[in-house]
Formats: sequence, structure tokens, C-alpha cells
Amino acid sequence: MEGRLDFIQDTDLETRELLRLKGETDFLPRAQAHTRVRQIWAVGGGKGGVGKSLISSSLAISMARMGHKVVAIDLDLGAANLHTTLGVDMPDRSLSDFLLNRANKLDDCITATSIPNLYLIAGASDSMSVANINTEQKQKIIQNLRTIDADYLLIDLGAGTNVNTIDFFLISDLSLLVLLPEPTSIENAYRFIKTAYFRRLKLVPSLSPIFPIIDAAMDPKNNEGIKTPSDLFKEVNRLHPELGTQLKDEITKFKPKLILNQVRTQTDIDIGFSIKTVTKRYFGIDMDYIGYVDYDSSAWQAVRRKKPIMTEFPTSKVVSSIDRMTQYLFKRHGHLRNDL
Amino acid sequence: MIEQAQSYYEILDIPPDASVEEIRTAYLRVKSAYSKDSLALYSLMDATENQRYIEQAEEAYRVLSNTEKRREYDRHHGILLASEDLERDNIIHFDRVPPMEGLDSEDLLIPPTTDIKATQKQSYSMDHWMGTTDVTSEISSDPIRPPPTEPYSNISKATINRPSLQPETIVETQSPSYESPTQTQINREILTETEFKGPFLRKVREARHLSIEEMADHTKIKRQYVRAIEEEDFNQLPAPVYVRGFVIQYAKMLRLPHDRVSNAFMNRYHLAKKNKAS
Repeated sequence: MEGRLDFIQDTDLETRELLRLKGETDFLPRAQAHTRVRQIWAVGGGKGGVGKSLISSSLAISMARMGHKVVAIDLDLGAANLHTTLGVDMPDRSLSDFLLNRANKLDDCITATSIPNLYLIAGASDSMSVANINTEQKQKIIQNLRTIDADYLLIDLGAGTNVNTIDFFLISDLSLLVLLPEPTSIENAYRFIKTAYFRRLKLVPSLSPIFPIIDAAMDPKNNEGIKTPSDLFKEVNRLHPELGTQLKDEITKFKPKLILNQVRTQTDIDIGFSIKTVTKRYFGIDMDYIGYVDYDSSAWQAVRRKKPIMTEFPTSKVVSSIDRMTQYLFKRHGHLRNDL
Repeated sequence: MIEQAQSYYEILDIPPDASVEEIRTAYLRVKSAYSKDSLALYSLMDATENQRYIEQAEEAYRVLSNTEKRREYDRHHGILLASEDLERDNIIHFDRVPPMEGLDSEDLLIPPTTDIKATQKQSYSMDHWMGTTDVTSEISSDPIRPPPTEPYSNISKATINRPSLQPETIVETQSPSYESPTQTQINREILTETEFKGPFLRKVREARHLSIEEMADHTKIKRQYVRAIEEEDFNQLPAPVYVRGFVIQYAKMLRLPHDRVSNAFMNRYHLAKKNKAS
């Protein structure tokens, strides 16, 4: 019980930082109201090899070409290769310099790319991995992200459901989920959503009375028989009916966006719609299916050449799909502030 | 969804003012998402749960797809406010129009342009088909690419050879694998269309995957009139006041700008009658 309490306090502290930086709470004055960064976009997906880095780099290029200053950040710390998909040799400076206090600001870790408007913060090249950075290091990154001199940040996340990865996903303004129309990828994506979903709820201090129920729900072999979010909801309504509405509100705030990669057929495309339908029913969340990318051999050819597909194969369908997604995201979710 | 007791609308994840077309699309989507071999269920849902949900969706569709049952359901569950109820009656229910003789129908004498509420609704609907509205509408109109295509119902040769056809409505008969213009393409055409002639209306209806029977069923317009509208066979149509009402119903069903469609159609109708008389 003591351990659990520590965790709650720990979460409470993080919440204030995480959600305040996101501007999502009103119980604290918004920190750094005049930050330069307009929005943080994060690309995750649970499984490795589904094309997160490729889609991240392509989106970043597409955004930069539309005239925004973009910094792509590789937070796949143990297996960084965003620089390769952007056509940049392993830069001298990386995130480790910042984490190990060799650099004072994240701005000092930035490397230029060959694409105008697009910059890169490479992932750590040493033994540091996302699983073994500590809470202070994570906080340090999160607190400094929005001080970077850029319009948009694009975070490439690693595979897996490590708590650090999940937190980077959650503090983003726009969370993109990449998956393939394959059982393995879908399975991992659901696990990723589930983990992020419960973690998201545990970041709300006022829901602390129901944290034990959430903990139980996170354990698939719990004694309370809570198997699905729907069970969780029933249990909350039974034990803490006053928090039911708030729980629902928090759930609706969690809106990851879905991108299907490597589709080959119409059936593959439709899987995205089915996943949207199923997650709506199972989790009660609205996942926006923002688009899909065709399976295209030019993608691996570009990787072989260590060049971005966006510049190597400008006429490929991948490029037009990515551009359309970027336009859509800007239009629908982009930050329209013109005071900067 | 999280709630325990769900309305039929929630089960299909549609708004209470969903059109017949939306209800149908939503139902097909649910059926496909929860079918036995659906990958989207993998590792998340168990078979009994799926089966139960499919049954719920079927029940929901059975009721909501039937105008009478739906109205009863709505009343019973207090889903529509009085004003909304009136509005929907005004739009959909043509069965209150008296038979052909007699001109005392108030409903039909209201000029469509004053139907402000319906116009707003219409423009929302156009947005919907264009895939530019909010999150809830995304499934039926893929924002990034056209939605799945389905085989086009054959256009009869007679229709194709009609001289009055617009060039863009002519269909290549040589290629049997011709697929329907997707909703997105059709929506683009609708935006640039000005005449809304019968064959174009027919094309839109087929692109929306509605048969003549379904159209007649939902609008309460007789099949022969639906056909006459699409063939611009003005002699087969009743008095102008009814025709105008029919065309408005027809256009609303297809989410077309009904005032423009009916004005254009009625101009041609009157012209044809005048020519015949002189």
C-alpha cells in the first residue's frame, strides 16, 4: 500500500508538469505562456518496424515544406535512427548531451538537415535507452521541449509500452498511432492504447480516489474481475458515483489519431475503420482515422539509400498520402495562432 | 462505449438526426468490424461479446431503418425535442400529402428558399459528404482518400443514348469493370453541377447505393414518379405543386441542394408543358 501511495504522489507531481505544459488544466496558471512551440506531435505505435520513423520523418519534411519551422526529435533513445531516415549522418550532438549536462539547452543539440526549415535532435548514440532514463531526466526533457525555437516539434517514439514512451505520447498535443494491417501490429497497438489510456487517467489528481480501481484494471488477473474499460466504469459508478462524469470527460480527452501503414488492398484500408469502431466501443474513445499509406517498394529503396522517401521519390503515392495527411492535420488540429 | 444502457443510436454510433443513408453505412461498418474474421478484434474482444454486439446492432438497424418504427422509438425514448420532431416531419414525411386532387396542402406551398433550417442542415450535410465536418462523420467519408467503391448499377443503354445527357454523365459501356464514381468524386461533381437533370440525379442516387425501391420507400414517392423524375418524363408527372414537393424530397434524400435542384427541374417542367401546349 505504501508503494502505491508513493506512486500516486509521484504521478500527482508529474501531472502538474505534464498537463500544465500542455495547457490542459485550469487549476494552475499556465507555465511559459509565451513559448515558441505551437504544437508537439508524437508518433508511436507499440510494435517495432511498423514505419514510425519513416512516417515521422516524412511528416516532418511535409510540415517543413509547408513553411513551418520543424524540429524532429528522436526519442527512440535505445535504437535511434530518425537521422538516417532524414538523410543525415549520425550528428555530433544528440539528446544525450542535454541529458548528461554537456549541453545547457535543447536548442544546443539541434542539427540542421538538408531540407530548409527542418532541424533534428538526434537520439542518444550511447548506452542510454528510453527504458533506463530516470524520472528527472524525463521531466527535464518534457519541461524543456516547448522552449525549443520551432513552430512544431515532431517526436518519433520507440517501440514498446515503456512508461517514458507513453508519457511522451501523452504530453503531445497530437498523438499519432502508426500500425500495420497485421494481427501482431494490431495486438501491440491495442496494448499501447490500453497502457496510455490508463496512464492518462492516472495523471488526473482529482481522480485519485479511483486510482486503486485503475490499478486493478491494469492488472489482467485482478481479483475484482475488471477486464475492460467498461467494467472499470461500472466499478467506478458503483463505488464513487460522483467521479463517473469526470472519468468520462477525461476519457473523451484522450484522442489518438490512427495511421495505417503499408496497406495493399481495400480490405486493409477498411481495417482502419473497423479499429476505430472497435476502440470506440471498447474504450469509449474517439480515434480519428486520419489516413493510410500504401505499401510501396520505394520506401525501402529510400532507406537503402539512406535518404528520405519524400525527396528521393517525390512522385510516389507515399508522398502524396503524407502531404494530404499533413494538410488535414493542420486544417483540423493545427495551431492557428497568428500572434507569433 | 462505456455506458450500460445504450440507445440504438449509440450502438450504431450515429447522431439522433442521422439520415437513412448514414444509418445504413453505420450498420454495415459495425457488421464488418465485428465479423468473425475481423482483424480489428484481435486480442481485444472475445467471441461471445462480439456476438452479443452484432445482435444489438441488428436490432438497432431493424428499428432505425424503418421510418415508422424509428419515429415510434424516438417518441418512446424522448429522443427528439418537439421542434426537431416537427422539422423532421416537415422534411421526410410525404405521406401526409393528400392524393393528387386538391391543392390545399400547406406543406407543399411553402417555397423551399424560406426553409432556412433545412438549408442550414443541407449545407452541413454537404460538408459531411465532403469529409470536412467533425470527427463523428469521418467514417462515412474518408478525409484523405475516397471511400471504398462498389460496383455501379448498370445504366441502361437507353439512358446513355439520350441526347439531353451532359457529357460527364456518359458512362463507358465497353468496360464491364467500371466502378461507381466514389462519393468524393460525386460530391465534386455536385458542387459544379447547375442543371441537375434527371440522369444526373439518377447517377447520384446510384452512387449513394440507393435503389428506386428504397428511394420510393423512404420518400413515399411512388416508384413511377421516381422513374419519371430521373427520365425527365414530364407527362408522367402530376400537377406542378406535387412535382416540386417530390423533387425536393428526392434531393433531400440524396443530400443535394434541394432548392437549386427543384428550381432547375421545375423550370424544365414548365418549359416542356408550355411547348406541348403551343
